[in-house]
Amino acid sequence: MSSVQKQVLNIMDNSTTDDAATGEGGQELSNQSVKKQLLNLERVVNKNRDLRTKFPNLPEKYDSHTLSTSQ
Amino acid sequence: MISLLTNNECRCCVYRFVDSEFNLIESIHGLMILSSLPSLTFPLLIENSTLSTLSDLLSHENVEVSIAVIQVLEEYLDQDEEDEVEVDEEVEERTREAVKNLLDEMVKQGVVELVVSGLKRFDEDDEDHRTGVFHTLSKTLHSLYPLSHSPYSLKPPILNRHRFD
Repeated sequence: MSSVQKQVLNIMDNSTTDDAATGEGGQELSNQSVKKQLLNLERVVNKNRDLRTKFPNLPEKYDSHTLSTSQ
Repeated sequence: MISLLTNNECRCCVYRFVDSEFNLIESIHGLMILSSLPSLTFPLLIENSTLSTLSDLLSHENVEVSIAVIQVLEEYLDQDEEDEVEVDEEVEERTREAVKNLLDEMVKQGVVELVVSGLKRFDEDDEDHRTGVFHTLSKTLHSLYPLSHSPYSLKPPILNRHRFD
């Protein structure tokens, strides 16, 4: 059994006993941590929407090239 | 591109804007980890109307954002193939149920229509966009189409996109 498979099994085992599990990269997945992450996403989305509304004339897309030439 | 800006849009604002856009894409990619425990995370995605947020982002002005969303949704739907390992039947059942509910919610949020209309925005000469088209075609539409009983014609855009292969 590969380590990845073991990890998957561990995740599955944990999920039956309690609602916490260690996801990929050792990050803890729990009801609370997921909610926190989802709330954070909403915050980022709202902030982005505000900036988009405030500066409608900015280009649609910035890529790494634009960034490196503008800094 | 900076020269396209009008005078009153200061550089500082531009940096804030760029930061915000990168932050957004990073946060979306961060959601991928949630696919490792569907029975816990998928109900939360629905409860917290994250799916509605994600489906709004499919029509974001920045096509990179749309592509990130498609990649995440694909990851969520890609559960079956990882189930080759023997797992507890009850866990498997809970996972299946969670995926099914997530799919239902996606259909309700009009993800199929948004993904299809998003296809037109991809520039096929750009490698990232090609990846986006590939992701769109490979999983999202496949998973959603049979369930949605959609009257929308999906074939023309798909066939057009096959030509660059």
